[in-house]
Amino acid sequence: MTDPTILVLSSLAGGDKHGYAMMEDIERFAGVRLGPGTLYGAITRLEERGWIAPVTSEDRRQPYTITGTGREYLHDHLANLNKITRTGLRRLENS
Amino acid sequence: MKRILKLLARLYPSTWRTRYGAEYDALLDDATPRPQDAFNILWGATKMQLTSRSFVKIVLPCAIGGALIAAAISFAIQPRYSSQTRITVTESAPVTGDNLKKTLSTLRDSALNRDFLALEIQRYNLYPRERASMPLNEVVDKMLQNIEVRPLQTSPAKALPSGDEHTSAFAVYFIYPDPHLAQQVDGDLIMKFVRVIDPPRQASASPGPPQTVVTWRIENGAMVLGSLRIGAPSHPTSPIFPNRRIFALGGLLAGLLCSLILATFVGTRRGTATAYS
Repeated sequence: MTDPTILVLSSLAGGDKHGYAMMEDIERFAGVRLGPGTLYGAITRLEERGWIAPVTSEDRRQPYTITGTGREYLHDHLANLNKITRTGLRRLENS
Repeated sequence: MKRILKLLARLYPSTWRTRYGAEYDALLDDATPRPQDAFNILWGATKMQLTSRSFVKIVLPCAIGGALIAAAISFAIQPRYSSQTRITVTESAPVTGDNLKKTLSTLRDSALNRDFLALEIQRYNLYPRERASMPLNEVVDKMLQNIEVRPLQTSPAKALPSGDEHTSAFAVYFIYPDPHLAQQVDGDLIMKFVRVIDPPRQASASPGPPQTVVTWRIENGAMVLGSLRIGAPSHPTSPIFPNRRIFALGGLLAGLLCSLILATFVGTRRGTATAYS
């Protein structure tokens, strides 16, 4: 599972972060290092959809927060993924 | 490296940079740069440009213009057609690729002597422009560059047609701006090859439908016994150069690249301003 938007939402689900912090966090929990272009492509899309929002900051490192709709989308997506994972694993064990 | 990455980051649309530029540069300052980041940023900038509406206004004329210019250039270039004649050799012993190549090289040197080529040039009035500006000897050199003798791959099924017979094949190509002349001269070249291979039977050899002409085989680089089939020289219908589709595609891509640069440096904020604010 390397969809950058899900990785960014999952990272922000753990607290507000700026771009570099997200990059480090994602590498830590998913083992994937998102390139700058990929990360900001995802951030742009997520902000346009209203799933993340910028947090007021004086620093040029702009932190982001996950919104209610973003949290809802991430929950549904991960629950669905969890269902698929469990079904796949169960079928593998039974075969 | 960071400097290069920051320069590449300037390829993003100006409206996107207004909104995200400062924090993007901050990210590039903080992160340890990797060579693949350059491609990642370039790809990100391209995708972002493609989603910008002002970019479409720039990209369409540039891409269409590039394709049209390239197509016009391809029509202005003198085309080159290649006629090919296939010769299949059946022998009692297998021929290694190196042996065949060596034999073909010897055969080419024997068959394509300068006097014969000079006669062909005069007979068909080949290379009129070159002949007007250079001595015949140099025109012969040019003609030699346009003649190719290449071994061909035979399919495994044909490699052993029956019993202990083995098949190998080669082709003689002649490349020329006129497709009819390319075909005619290629036929003559084949006849010259046959005359070199087996002079007594040259009368029975004529390019046309495939036919068994002489018997020979390759032994220690020399042709001895076996059977040889000559195909008809092909009539080229489309030029080998310039390939107009590839030219047009190249022009399209060049136009896209130009529009990317243009959109970056000349791009107006109008149109996309609402997308990122």
